Amino acid sequence: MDNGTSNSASENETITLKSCDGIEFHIDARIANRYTLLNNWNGGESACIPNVNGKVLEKVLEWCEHHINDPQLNCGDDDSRRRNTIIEEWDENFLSCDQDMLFEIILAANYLEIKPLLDLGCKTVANMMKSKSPEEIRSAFNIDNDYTPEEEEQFRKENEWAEDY
Amino acid sequence: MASKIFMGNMPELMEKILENLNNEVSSLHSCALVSRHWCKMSIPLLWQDPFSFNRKSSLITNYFSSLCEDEKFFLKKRVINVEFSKTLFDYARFLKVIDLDDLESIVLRWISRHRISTKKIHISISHN
Repeated sequence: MDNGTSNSASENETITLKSCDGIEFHIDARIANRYTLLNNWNGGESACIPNVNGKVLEKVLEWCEHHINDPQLNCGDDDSRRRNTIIEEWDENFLSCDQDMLFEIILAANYLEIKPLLDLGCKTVANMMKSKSPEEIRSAFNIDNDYTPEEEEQFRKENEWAEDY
Repeated sequence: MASKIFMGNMPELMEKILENLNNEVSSLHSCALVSRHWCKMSIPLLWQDPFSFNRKSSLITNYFSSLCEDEKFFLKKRVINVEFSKTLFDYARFLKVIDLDDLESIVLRWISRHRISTKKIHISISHN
């Protein structure tokens, strides 16, 4: 991400991005200015973004477009922003998609280095774990328990202090 | 099928998710019990600042038990006569935040509650 001081593209300028499955998107060039990695795939006939399909790219670009005028954060702001688990209403609605899509968005944001969207996605998933029991988390994310009963018992004994804190 | 983020393929992303649960001791405890991989990812966060969130003196037993052998030997020989069992993780190495006055008061409470025999009447924790 740049330092937020340059935003040279004008409102009418567009760039073309192509998803890995060949779907083209014509987006405001200012978006690519904010997230420099998007610029790498600008325009070229054969250039497409590997690993991100059209359905996911559409969602990612929708988010970028909505947040086009957000102030850009300095690196030092990251931690405090991440620690705050409050999510704005628009973002909450935006990420109220099915779980597969939510994880796809996180992976794409990570791949495309769209840090605020990555943080938002991670925060959303973390909120889904808050105040849940291990069983509830397993069933929410389809995880198998591979503890042996002995290991689980020992873990519980050693970490009893943290239970129901 | 579970996302690859949770299956160990992308630990940096799972870490990023769990970082949002910093200070959510009970949620981190639940996460650690989900599976072995989740445990490995959650324990460093759960144990980075345990003394600020927990005043239970039993925490000290586990904390001391997870010290390295040399440190345990030092405690046993010089200060505290107690056998420490082996723990699943070296919890002590995850500690990032510690208030030595807090630690001292919890240790003293632990000694009196568990009737631990000590070789010195006054325990003093070095601030160096």
